[in-house]
Amino acid sequence: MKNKIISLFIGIAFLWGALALRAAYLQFLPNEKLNTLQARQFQTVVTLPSRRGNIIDINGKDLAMSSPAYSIYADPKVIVNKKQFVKTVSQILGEPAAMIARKISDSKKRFVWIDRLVNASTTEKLKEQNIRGLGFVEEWRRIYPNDHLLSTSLGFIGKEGQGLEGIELLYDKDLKGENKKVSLRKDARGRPLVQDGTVFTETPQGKDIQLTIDSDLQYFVETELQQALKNHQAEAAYAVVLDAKTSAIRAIASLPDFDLNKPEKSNSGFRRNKTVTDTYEPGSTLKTFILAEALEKNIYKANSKIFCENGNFKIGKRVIHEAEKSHSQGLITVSEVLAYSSNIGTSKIALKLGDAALRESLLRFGFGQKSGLDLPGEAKGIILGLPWADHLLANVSFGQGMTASPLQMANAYASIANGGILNRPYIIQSITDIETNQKTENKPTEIRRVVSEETAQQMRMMLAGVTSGKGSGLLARVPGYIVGGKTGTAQKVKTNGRGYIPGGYIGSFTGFIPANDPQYVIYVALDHPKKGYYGSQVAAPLFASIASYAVRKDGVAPEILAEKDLSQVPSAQTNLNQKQIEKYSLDDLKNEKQILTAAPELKNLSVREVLQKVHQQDIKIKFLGSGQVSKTWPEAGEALNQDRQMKVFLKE
Amino acid sequence: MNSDFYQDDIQRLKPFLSVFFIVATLFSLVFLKMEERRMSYVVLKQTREYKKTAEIRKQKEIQLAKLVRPQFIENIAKAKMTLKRATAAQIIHLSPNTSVTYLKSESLIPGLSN
Repeated sequence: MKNKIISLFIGIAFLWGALALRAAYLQFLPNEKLNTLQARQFQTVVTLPSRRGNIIDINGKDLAMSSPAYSIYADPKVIVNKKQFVKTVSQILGEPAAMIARKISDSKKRFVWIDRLVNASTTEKLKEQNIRGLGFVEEWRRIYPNDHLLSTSLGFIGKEGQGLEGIELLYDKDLKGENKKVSLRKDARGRPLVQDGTVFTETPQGKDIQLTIDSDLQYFVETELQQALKNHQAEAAYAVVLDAKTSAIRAIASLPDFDLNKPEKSNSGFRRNKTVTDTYEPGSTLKTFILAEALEKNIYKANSKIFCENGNFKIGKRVIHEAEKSHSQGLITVSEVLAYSSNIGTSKIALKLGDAALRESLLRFGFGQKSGLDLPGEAKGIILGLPWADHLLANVSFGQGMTASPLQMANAYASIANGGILNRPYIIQSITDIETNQKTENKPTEIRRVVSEETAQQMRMMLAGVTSGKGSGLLARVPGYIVGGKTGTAQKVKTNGRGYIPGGYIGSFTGFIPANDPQYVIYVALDHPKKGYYGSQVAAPLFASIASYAVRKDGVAPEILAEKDLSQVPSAQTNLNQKQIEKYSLDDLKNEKQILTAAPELKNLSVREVLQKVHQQDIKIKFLGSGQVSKTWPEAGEALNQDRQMKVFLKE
Repeated sequence: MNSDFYQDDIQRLKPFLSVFFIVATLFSLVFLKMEERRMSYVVLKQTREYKKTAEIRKQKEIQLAKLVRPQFIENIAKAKMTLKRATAAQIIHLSPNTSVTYLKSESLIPGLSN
């Protein structure tokens, strides 16, 4: 018996020993197949989608943001009651039942999208229903809180979160970031067992991009363009506002545009930022650079006289005319050639410069080449190769036979405004890595010096002359500020065949404000307007309105000089320098004023009306209370003290 | 005599104590494992709560961005406050020697007796 027990014990011990050895073998020796099986059973991989970075304006206002959303899918094979499934899902999603039924009709399929980028609250309702066969993928939805604002520059993204246009496309890699994959243990029901909560809470993020755009100014520019588009029944309208010193883009608009939150519903032609991607013959706005080159090369001076052939100038078999017969001129100065926008005067200057020098100067000002702007699809423009026949040379001098984009034109004017340096225009101010808090600033980049500081200053004064006296840009004037700029009326080239579209024009104005210390360079244009087409009629007032808003928003102090009718200021037509001009106009103004010696009648006037009455009277006025004027000290008609103080009592 | 008695007791209890410690350790391990599991569910719940709160915050940020957009502000100003866009004619340029002071109380004006 004892032997039997011992044998049984040994047998059992052997079996247990074998079992223990097998267990140890499985547990401790590496086995890839078993490891995979174990991982599949106990491990789960959770993908955390990266939040696309925000795009903000220069003041930190959001232009593009990402909101959590869910994409909903179904596994038709495991759906138990399809009828019930369709009813519940369509009710919650608010989509036609037939559409959902069609999506899950094929029971062999294991994956179909039911809806993409659904908001969190709707998803929560679906989750509560606990529907078998329904799954959720966490994603981020792009939101553009300003709808249309800056749409052609911002661009948009596709359903898979990839950038398709504009900044969203060009900076897709930075904005997108990288998805994070986390490997976790899971329980029998597939729930992840989390030890570290931050695994889920620390969402991976793309980089934030700050633009140089001022969204308030951008909005103003877009609404003004929209209004002009309507008033002049134009096909399109463009505007570029640059910081005169750095060429940072403060506003850029190409209308018609589209709603960024519904890009699929827009015409694809409206999605392009035509101020960057399209070029056209600029017209007279180009004359500025021909004259700048002539001054730079010392071929002409601002007061040199040119005979403008009384409106008909024959070059070979062709005759050059002024834009209007009434614009015909005789002997005028170079400054007046610019102010009156004389085609013949500019042609003569160009002929004297020669084709090689003219072409070289245009290339130097940035025409015919990309500027290196940080927006996609920048066009180069066309400048034909040498040699140029005389009539082509003349045509180019007044902006025909070559093309430029609105941005190129604005940037070339910025080089005149800032003292002769061509900068690279840019729209990205900085890129911030949210995870490391590292900020990469975009600094202004100088491309080259295009003219000397003296030439640039002379050109600024000559361009100020365009908005004064008999200049073509009178409507571009902004009360309180000196404005410099040039009108342009370009004929539209036929897209099929040779020649120009009859009645097709692009009226533009490019200028800067204030002309004595430019802060902004502004380009505005209306494409194919039906009501009026001259740049001086359709674009100059638009420039004035945008320029006025821009300088006042920035707190640029008004100049007393501009209060005077500049027609009486010698302006650029003499050799006086700017300080002399300012002195002249200031003295002139003081002499003209009728200074009151007695207190004016102000009774029953509002504060605004009082200010309108005394604003030129050098009176130190003190208001008390609110409402309308009840009495004043001194009373109306009484002599003012030597210190010219007045007290105004207001009553509701 | 007493010490011999305790010595014997301890000797007799030793096997039970060993088993007790082993069982207690095993129970502790199981308990800790269960506790870890329970804690991880709590953490999971908390992270879900956190995410929900973060989502709400994000929604609020979007709402704020929509509220401060210039278009919305202009519409409110025009529709609800009957305001109009400023025109150039409304701007008054004071000459450099003109000064304006606005006071609400008479006591702030020196020499009012004048």
